[in-house]
Amino acid sequence: MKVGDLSVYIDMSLLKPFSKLPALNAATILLVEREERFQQNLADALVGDTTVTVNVRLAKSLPLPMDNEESRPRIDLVVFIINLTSELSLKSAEASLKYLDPGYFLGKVCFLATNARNTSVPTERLDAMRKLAASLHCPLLFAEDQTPDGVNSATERLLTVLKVAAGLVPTATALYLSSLTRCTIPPDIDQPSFE
Amino acid sequence: MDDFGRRLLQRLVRRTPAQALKATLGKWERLTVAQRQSVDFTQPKVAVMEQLVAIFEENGWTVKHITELEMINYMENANRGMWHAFQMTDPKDDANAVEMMQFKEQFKSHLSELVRHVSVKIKKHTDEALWIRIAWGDSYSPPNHLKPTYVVHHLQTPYVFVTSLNSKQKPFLVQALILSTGYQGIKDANLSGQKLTAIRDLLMKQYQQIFPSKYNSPLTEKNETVSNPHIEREQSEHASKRLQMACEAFGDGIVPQLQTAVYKLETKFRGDANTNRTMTKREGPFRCLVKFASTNLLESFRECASSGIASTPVSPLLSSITLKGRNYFVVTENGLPSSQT
Amino acid sequence: MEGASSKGVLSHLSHLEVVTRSRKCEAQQPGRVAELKAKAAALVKQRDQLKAQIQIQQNLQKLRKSMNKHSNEEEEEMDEDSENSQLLRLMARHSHLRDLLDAHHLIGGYDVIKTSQGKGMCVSLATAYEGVYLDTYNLELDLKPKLRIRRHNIPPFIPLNQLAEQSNMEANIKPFLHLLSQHLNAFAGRKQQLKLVKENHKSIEVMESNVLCSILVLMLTVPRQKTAVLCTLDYTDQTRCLPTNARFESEDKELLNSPDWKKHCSLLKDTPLHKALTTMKTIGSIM
Repeated sequence: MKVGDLSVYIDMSLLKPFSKLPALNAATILLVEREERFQQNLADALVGDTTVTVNVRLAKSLPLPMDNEESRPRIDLVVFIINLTSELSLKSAEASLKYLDPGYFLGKVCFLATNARNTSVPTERLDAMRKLAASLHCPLLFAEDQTPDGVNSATERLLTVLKVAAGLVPTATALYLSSLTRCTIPPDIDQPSFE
Repeated sequence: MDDFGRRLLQRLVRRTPAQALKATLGKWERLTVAQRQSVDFTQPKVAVMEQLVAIFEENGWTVKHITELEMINYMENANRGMWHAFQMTDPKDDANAVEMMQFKEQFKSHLSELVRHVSVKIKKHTDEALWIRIAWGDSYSPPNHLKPTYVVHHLQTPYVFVTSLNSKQKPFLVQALILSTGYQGIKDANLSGQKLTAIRDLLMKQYQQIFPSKYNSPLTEKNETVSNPHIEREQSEHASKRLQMACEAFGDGIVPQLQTAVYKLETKFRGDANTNRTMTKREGPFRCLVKFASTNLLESFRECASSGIASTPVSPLLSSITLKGRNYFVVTENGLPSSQT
Repeated sequence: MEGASSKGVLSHLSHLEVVTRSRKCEAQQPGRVAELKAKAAALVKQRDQLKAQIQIQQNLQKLRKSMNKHSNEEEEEMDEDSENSQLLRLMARHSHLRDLLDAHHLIGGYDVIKTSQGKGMCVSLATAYEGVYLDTYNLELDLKPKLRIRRHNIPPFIPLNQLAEQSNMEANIKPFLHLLSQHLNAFAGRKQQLKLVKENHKSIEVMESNVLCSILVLMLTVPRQKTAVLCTLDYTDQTRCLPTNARFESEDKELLNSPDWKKHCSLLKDTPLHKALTTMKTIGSIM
């Protein structure tokens, strides 16, 4: 494969935040989850919002198929749902990240971790997750996916971020919000805790 | 009725739920309608027991009749104990022509030649299956009716399902079976489970299998959930493909309810030489046992594969369960699942 | 002579009188007339139905002919009551496709599709008996490194591996598929016959049968004497759905030696079971 071909290929598969015009009073959110489990519940709750038209696109991983390119609206917020009990879930999200245009990382990406309270989650994975979010300057949200209350509160939080990211909140921008909400690593994360 | 008969009946009554017991008595042709109605199943088991003992004594029924009742009960509630499957090999030419009466006679005579004290009962179930109840004794003791072996066999098929058989009795049973069915050998089918129906369906191919087809399969239609117009799946064809693959590997609809799958690994340890020097330096295979357990293993696997938790196409190690009809594998260095047989 | 003839006239007249009276009596049986009328009406109705069916068949034939002639052009006939014509067109298409499928199976074609990028294939074998499609069985085969059965849903009492060896499957798959299809069709046929017997002949008790439907023992009853006759059918040749051997057993030895029952024996060997039993019933040999 020639270099030229490769660049074309990458360009085509890269998801860009501003390649399409926004729709009136509408916001589109892309939920990426390897297990495709929580995203359906979340999607059902998200479209229930009455103030704006919320479009939800569901995906298992990136890149998104080219066939849907035409019908796909501009995506305002990309959410990676990561099940912390599964190593694959985190790895898959990491692999998907490179199909996003750098423009997205100015406040239009967020991570949503589930099962963080599960005792089988190794602390290393949680740390890796936080480091990943911090290095990309993205907010990291935690959610409870088993209870309706958990789904509702996760929905609330995502809607708030989504509305800002879609430019529906007059006084705020995505970049502004993300600089306030992005994940930061505590300074002692790499130090052994027993000192 | 003697003490032993009492014990046997008591055990039967104690082990069976009242409703099942009622159904069993209904199926038993010896009881008159009046007798059947006289038993009150709402009272405690002890009282039911006393009533039954009275009826048995009144008719002069003995251990033989109790075993009859036990057999009917077991046939109706077969999902108890651990069932093991055996497969007979090398059929003779007349293996397909064996008929029930002939089998009954031959099996009984062969077994009684081998074991001096043995009590055999053979009954045909509604699904054409032959049920065999064997109470074993030896040269000095009479047949032990408290620990009978149950054998289920469908004539014209090479499969035999056995429960509560100990290793001492196995050679006798095996010999009687192959002599009376027209086969020349028998081997362990490496399939076991608590549900007779499950292992039978798996081996007799009586569950719904999905095959590749050029027509639109009902699977894809089933998968298209009608949902909100604002929600769209980007990779929906992936999902239907995964479902198709999962169903091809594990079956559609209600799958045979297996509880376990065991993989005995006898492979070399592969890993980073620096981190685990002692393991990689070892000569000889690294032994390890992997056991999957679930109330419905195949359904769990199917769900994992179709939802994307497990990768598709399904690993041949997992699809071998349905493909080969077994749930015990020895994995050797060649990578392919094989068995010790 | 005269007297005799006059007597003859009178007696003739009286006879005629009797006849007319009886005719009147007949006319007074309104029930019988109504019955006959109803029967006539039913027959007329049946005739009309048959006529309508003929009409439909003719239309179908015409449609199919025109479909065959110019399958690319659109037909513009029969636009009056469009719903009916649409239905007719669908029926024509359906029967056309069915004929094609039958023809395809008849010339030895199988429904085969490629799987896993040409490395395997999947054959589906449909079984049918007396024009009714029954179960469909599937075989998934590996083509490489050698032809091998990978997966199937054929019941274990069909000796699949034996058939594969016998017909040298690895060298040529067609004879194997043919043999297998014969076995499956014969099995489906036997099973269907047994099902029909159980459904349509309630007075006949099926004493024994097996999963392969290769052995069948029926209990027949002779009407008047109520003698029980045991009929054993042996289907040794498993590629056929007719028995290779049929025999009767009864306490009444004379009955079985009668020419009628000898004939029944050969009847059972030559005709499908449910039909043979119907024939025996109509003759009055069994209940």
